[in-house]
Amino acid sequence: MIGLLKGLKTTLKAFFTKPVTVIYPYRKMEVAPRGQGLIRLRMKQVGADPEYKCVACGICAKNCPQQCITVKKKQDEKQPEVYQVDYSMCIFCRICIDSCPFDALEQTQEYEWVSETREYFTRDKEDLAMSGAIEEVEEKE
Amino acid sequence: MIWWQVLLWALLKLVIAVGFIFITALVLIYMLRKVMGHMQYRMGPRHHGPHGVFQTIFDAVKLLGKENIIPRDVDKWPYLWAPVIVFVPSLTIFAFLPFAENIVATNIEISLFFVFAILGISSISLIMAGWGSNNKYALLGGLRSAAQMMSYEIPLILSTVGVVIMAGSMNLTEIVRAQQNIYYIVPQALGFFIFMTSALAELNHTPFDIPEAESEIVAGFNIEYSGFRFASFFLAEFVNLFIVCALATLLFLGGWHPFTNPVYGVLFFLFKTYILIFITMWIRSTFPRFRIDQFMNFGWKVLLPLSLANIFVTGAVVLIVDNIRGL
Repeated sequence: MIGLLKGLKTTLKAFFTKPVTVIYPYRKMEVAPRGQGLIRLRMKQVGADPEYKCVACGICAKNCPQQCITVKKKQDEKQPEVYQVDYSMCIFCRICIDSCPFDALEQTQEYEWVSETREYFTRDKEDLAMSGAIEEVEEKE
Repeated sequence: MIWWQVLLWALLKLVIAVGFIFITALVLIYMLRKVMGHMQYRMGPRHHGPHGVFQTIFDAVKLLGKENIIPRDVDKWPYLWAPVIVFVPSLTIFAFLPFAENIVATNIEISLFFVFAILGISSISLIMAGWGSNNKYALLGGLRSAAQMMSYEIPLILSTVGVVIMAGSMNLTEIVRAQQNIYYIVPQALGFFIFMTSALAELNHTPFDIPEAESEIVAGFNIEYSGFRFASFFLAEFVNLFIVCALATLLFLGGWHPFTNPVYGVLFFLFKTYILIFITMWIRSTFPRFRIDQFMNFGWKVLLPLSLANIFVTGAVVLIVDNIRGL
């Protein structure tokens, strides 16, 4: 019986406490500094134009458990011609980031992406490079 | 000239009663969602209207607009009439509840007895719903609900016998008048506890809501009902909650007691009723539910003997006190 009354007291105290709800579209919770969202291709600065660090070796595509990355390159080139990630299948496991030997991928903090069409979720290399606000540019050698 | 005036007056009272019932059901549903939300560290509805007050109306309109599905092999008459019959006791009992000194639609000498007699009809509608749905889970839910309601009606009614002995009458208005000196919750604390517990079981309310538990038996007898028929069961549950809390207020908490002015009397009566409803929702947000055999045990082996003991002790004390006074 005492346990029942203790339970009632807990609920009553909770009734008078301020709720912990964050009213989502109007206020947002702070995201952790480590990225949890979409994957992004990193850029590097060599000479005048920024380039992708990615050399289109295809390791990320082979290791992806969902097989959602498509990588194609022309012969004798060191930049990917086609690099597509299908986000309707991606599970954000970070295997592609961990397995890249050139450190060419990173994860952003973008988590708000909705659309009415399925085509939106296939991101090309341009979208992947430009997504998010910050673009890392490094000097090489 | 006079007969149509009588008819019009009766119709007006009917419209007021039905309107009051529906508004009460809507208010109670909103209150439940808000109270339960705040007790769980979250808010209830927020968007429609200030603090979400129009949410229930929009829900009701949404349920009205759903497709009218009748599964193929249902038993037509029980299936179709169960949502109608579930409302009948609720509407009828409103005719006998006094809200203030002379504000009662019909005042008969045995109104308490009549109220309990009609309240028993609601269990038949659940059996109809469970049987007519052609679904074994609905049947299980309906039969469990019927068993639960029938077994808890006995302690419910017997716990009020103590009040009747002390008040000397079954007329609800007389019972409230007899509580001038002391509200009956004090001498009849055990009776009040038994009444509230049996009432929660009678209404299929947590912690006794196995027949319609959403996570256990997938909504029990409600499972094949959609749209307005479901809304009908849902509203009837909340109207019955109001009725039972109103009865508890009249029998144990003194009804409208200090105020004989009708307006203040009605408001104070409603205030007390809403306090009891808040306590019901508080219990609903706190406790897990009983297993069916646990609460049948509780009803027959604990509440029934306690209520009989309550009658025995009350009768003995009243007899002794009357004899002492007579001496």
